[in-house]
Amino acid sequence: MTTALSLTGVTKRYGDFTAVQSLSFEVGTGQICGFLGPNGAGKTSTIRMILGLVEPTEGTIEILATQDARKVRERIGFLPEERGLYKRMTPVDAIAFFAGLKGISDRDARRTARQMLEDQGLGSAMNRPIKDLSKGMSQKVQLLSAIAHDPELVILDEPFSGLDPVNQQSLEAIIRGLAAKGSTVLFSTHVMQHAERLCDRVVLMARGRKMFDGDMAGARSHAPRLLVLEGNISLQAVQALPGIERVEVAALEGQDGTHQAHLSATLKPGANGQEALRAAFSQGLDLRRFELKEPTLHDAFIALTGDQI
Amino acid sequence: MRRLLKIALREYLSYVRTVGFWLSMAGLPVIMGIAVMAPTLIERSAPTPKMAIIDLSGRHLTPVILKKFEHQQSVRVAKAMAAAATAAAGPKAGEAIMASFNALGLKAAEATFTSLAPKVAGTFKAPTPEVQIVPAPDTVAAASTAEAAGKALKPYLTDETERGLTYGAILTADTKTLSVDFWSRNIGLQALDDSLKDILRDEDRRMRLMQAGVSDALLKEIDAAEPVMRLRSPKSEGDQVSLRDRLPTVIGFVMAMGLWTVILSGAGILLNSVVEDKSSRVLEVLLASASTTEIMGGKILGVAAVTFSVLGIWLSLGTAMLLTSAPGLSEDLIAILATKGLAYYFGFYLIGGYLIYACVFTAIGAFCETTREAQTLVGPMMLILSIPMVFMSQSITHPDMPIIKILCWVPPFTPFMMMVRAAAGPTLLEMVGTGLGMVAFITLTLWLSGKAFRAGALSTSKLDPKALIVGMIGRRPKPV
Repeated sequence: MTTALSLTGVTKRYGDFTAVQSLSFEVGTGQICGFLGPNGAGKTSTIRMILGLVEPTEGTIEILATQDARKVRERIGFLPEERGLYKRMTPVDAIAFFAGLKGISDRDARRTARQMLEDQGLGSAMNRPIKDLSKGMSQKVQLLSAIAHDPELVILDEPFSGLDPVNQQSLEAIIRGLAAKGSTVLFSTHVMQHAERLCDRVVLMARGRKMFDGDMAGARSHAPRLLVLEGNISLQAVQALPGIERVEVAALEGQDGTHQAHLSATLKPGANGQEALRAAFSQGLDLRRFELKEPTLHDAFIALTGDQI
Repeated sequence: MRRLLKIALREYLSYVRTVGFWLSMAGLPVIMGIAVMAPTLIERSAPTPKMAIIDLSGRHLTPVILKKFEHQQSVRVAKAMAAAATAAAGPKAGEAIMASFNALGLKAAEATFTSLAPKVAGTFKAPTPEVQIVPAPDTVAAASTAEAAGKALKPYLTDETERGLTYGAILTADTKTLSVDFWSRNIGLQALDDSLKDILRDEDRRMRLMQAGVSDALLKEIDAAEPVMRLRSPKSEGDQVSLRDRLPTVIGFVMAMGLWTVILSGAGILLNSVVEDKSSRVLEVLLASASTTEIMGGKILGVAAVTFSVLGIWLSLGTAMLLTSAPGLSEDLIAILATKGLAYYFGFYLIGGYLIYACVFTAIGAFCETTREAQTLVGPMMLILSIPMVFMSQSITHPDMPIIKILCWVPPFTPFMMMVRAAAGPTLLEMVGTGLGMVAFITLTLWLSGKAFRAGALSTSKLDPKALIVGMIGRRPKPV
């Protein structure tokens, strides 16, 4: 797989403040890469460096086989975190204008704009001023403006923020569609479910440093696996099961040492949940529920960035 | 270049398609029309002020005053005819009418007017008299003292009906001195007191000289023998200084004022446009699609097209009006603009001045989220810009004043100050030197503003003049 984007030892300092520290990662062509991190992690600074809007203090960025993003501007689509459109323009004019800046002829740009708006259910709004559109509609128009020129690399900064669930779903479909056509997508988000559903790989950042870079399974492996147990069981009995690192009581009912308890047990790294289940049966524990919970990306995000937030 | 032009076109259309643009386009001609017509309309709509003379001096001064005011009215009519003829047939026609009037009186002036500008003469309306002398009301005329006359006069000065008076002049005299109690309806209405004073001084002098034995014939001869004044200058085209010689300086001043207004209007539009793009986050999207130079250049070019469109339309309208209403004067104006090169200077300084202030205002706009923020930086700029305004008006009478010459060499002021100096015939060194200085300054401004614009466009921190300066010298403010 060829590399669409590669950062090597990228650092950005503003005076004494280090926004990004020795950041390195790669995104393969056609991949959807989630760029995750809490506020102030350095995501926007990194995106600005990738786009060539600001120069890195140290390190190199290779984008679409060049080290100068300005040379490949027309092959990149960008949606900034804070949305910006000319309010008095119509959606068709706005999309055609930004596509025109990316080298598309006015005629083609307008044709594409109309088609995209129709496809996104905005056909009836295409000739109304943007100021008259709903927030969701104008955000969609903004996204279409960023991709109307069919870019090879699409960079979306917090694309899901402010969208309702229906529009979030349609945005996910657009992103999948871009990848299906061969575009590489890098997007930052706080909403882990989107990254989980969309991404081939994720880069997690906190306080300017990369905390993780890899695929979903690799990210999840950083979060502990949990066993959820419910029944007339004691905390000590669960603690004694094999592979259990620690047990937390989620809820407790009853008296005299036995409880209708709801317990959450963290498995030791590499431990097998099946062994714990077998041991529980052999010891005759009175269980109503025994569930092995695989970690989510959200759990991984908390585990990897928890002390950095 | 394609991107720059695209941004410029969008900028241009975004203004041209607004109702406000067309309102402002029509606004100036309408206001100018009102300003030109207002004095005439006011004069025509207002009734002629009435003045009663109560002569208690015993010197029979009323007929003398009446005659003098009639003469003054003749002078006003002659001057109005000369102005109308100048507009229609050029300055020489106006000068000929005044020469006829001075030599042979109003009838001769009217004849000259009819022969030189027959069309305008046919529709000419003489200005209404400054004052109408009316007989004093009986109760006032019957008074034997100034005090009694004043008391009787007062009610007529507050009377709004036909009987009412605007002025009343009570004349008294002792053996040596003539005195006037000049009453007027309003405290502000004192325009006639000086005229009256002059008339009475002349009459008093004439009577005293006659009493001293000077003959009436000799006195008339002395009055008629006014010194002949000939205005000459090495810069005058003819034997004497004429209106044609003075026109270039006046035109230069008017053009400089126009330049100042147009440049500042354009820069103001640009500032608002950048602030709007910054606050709506469009600027960041643009930066990902085009270079700083293309965005700045596109915006500056687009707003220049807006400004120059407005200017072009106003100039076309003005020229059309001038050609139809004042063909004689317009011929001279066009000749001056062409032969003195004022039109070319205007073009050069318009482009230079616009570039300087457009760049600065664009850079300021990139640091501001709201127009209020922008005003904190634009305020001091406007103070600096008022400096040429102060001195420009002086340049009509004193175009070679040292301070004006010095200000020409200050690049931000060069466009305005050299525009007024251009008509006065500056030296080649001054023209070339200040021109090169301005070009060098434009280059520097473009470079610094480009850096500041880039820094400001990506900055989300609060406006800080320090950030603007830091942006200009190369370091960029920390983003949030």
